[in-house]
Amino acid sequence: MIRFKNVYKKYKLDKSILTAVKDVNLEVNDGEIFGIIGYSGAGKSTLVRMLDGLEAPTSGSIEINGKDIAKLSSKELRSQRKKVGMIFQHFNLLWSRTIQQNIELPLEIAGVAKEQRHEKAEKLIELVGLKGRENDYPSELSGGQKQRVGIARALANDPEILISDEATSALDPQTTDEILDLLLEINKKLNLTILLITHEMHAIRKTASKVAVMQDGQVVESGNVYDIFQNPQQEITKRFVNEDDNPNAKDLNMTVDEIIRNYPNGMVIKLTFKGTQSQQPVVSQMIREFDSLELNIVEGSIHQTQGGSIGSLVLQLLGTPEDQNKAVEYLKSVNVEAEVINRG
Amino acid sequence: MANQGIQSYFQFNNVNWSAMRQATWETVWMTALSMIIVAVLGIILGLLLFESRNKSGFGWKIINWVVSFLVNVFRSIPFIILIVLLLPFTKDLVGTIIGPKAAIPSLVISAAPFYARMVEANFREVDDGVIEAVKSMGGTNWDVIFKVLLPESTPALISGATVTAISLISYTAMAGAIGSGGLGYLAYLDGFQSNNNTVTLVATVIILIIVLIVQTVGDLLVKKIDKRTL
Repeated sequence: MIRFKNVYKKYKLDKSILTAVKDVNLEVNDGEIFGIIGYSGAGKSTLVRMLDGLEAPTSGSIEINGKDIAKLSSKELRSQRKKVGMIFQHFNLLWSRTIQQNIELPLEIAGVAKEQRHEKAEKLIELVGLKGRENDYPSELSGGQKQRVGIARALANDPEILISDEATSALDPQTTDEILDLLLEINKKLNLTILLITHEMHAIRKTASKVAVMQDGQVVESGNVYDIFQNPQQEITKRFVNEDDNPNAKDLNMTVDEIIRNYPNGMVIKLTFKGTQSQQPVVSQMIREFDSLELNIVEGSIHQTQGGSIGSLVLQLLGTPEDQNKAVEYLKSVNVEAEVINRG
Repeated sequence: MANQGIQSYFQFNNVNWSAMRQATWETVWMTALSMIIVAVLGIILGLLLFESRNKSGFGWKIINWVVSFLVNVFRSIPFIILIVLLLPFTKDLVGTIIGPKAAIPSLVISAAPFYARMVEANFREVDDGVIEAVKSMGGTNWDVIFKVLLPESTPALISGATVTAISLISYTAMAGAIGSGGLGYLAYLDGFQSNNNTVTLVATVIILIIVLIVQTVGDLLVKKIDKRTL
């Protein structure tokens, strides 16, 4: 269990004081994938550095399993760090070492005997899917493969917690998904607590069960990923959710504009389906219910989160204005969220 | 006359080949021995400069100030002056002020600061992220030095050492002016003072060959060790 309690971090600059982290309170349970999302400069990395004892909080406390990180002696801190694995945006591998030697590095530091090191590294190489590449150097690997090495290295000392600091931010979308799948697999296999620091909502949605949204050093919103996705409260959260929901929002707007031009009398609505609703024939029932109603499908998508699936559908309703309004009422009555984007 | 005109370069029967061989050997071992000492000392000083940089402790500040000062001073003194300046020190240290042995202290003292600065710069080139990664694994400062700084900068340390070794070779020749032995001494004594231009030319060619060998070996080593690119 990780607990941040009233954590502040202030830096003295030449003439002013920069508050990088402001009154952060968070609890991360064992075995959970917890996401922290925010744009750069939001204080995410400072938070992680404090968790790893690389920096001390100005006030407040950070506990891992009841131990206050800032109060540990440097020796205790080093042994604590062995229980926290870390993966980085730029992988931070040693180019002078082979893949195998890179993975063995934390074991060397921990003083593990040579034979056991080899054995452990072999298992980890297999776990991250790099068998056969043991004796290659990092420069011979792709970004995704380098991050796999990073993950294997982070797991070498059997940590209790894995911190992923923007680990997928330098990767292309497909490789990002592969790495996220690997993190999920590891989380399930090893029951490892994972703290996922990112600026991509996609990564959070795909892996995390809980999320904290950070802005200007503060946690502005936190809770279950599923809930936050359905019902974002803060502006910044809405932005993150939209970015993920609709990476091509511009295209959608253009399509909507065009449809409105062609059918000026239609009403454009956006439906959001949650969980089992997405498996029910709500829309076809709606069409049968109202005689004059016809529809255009503008855009539809479905997203998996760790809490269930969320679907969204943008429709244009055509027909008499009464039927259009009644249709929206009908949707609300079956608990489908319907947002009117444009009235005819 | 043998000592006039271009043909004076090619009077090969005037060359005392056994003296030439002896001088070559002296140059090689003067350079090699001083380079070994320079490498060890330079890495230690470079490490001190690197580690004491931007540290807040009072002790670290003193170390940084003292080492920087010494390095800057000895790097600024022209070699030919340094060698004269150090004569009494050399006498106490090695018991003589002539011969190759006497050249070693001045060679080391002038080249070590030069190399130390290069070492410091090389260490600064090492990726901070990797250092932080090792710290986040629970690594000590010694782990950082021996598992990150030194291995990750080895190619740069070697190419720096190559440059230093080449300037050491030219220093050994300069040290010839005060009787250190080696090819520089031979060129000065047998070549210049005895008006034997062929000796000067042969000594020059041999020095060029030594430099070429050092450069080639250095480049090959760097190429073999450097795994940063494919």
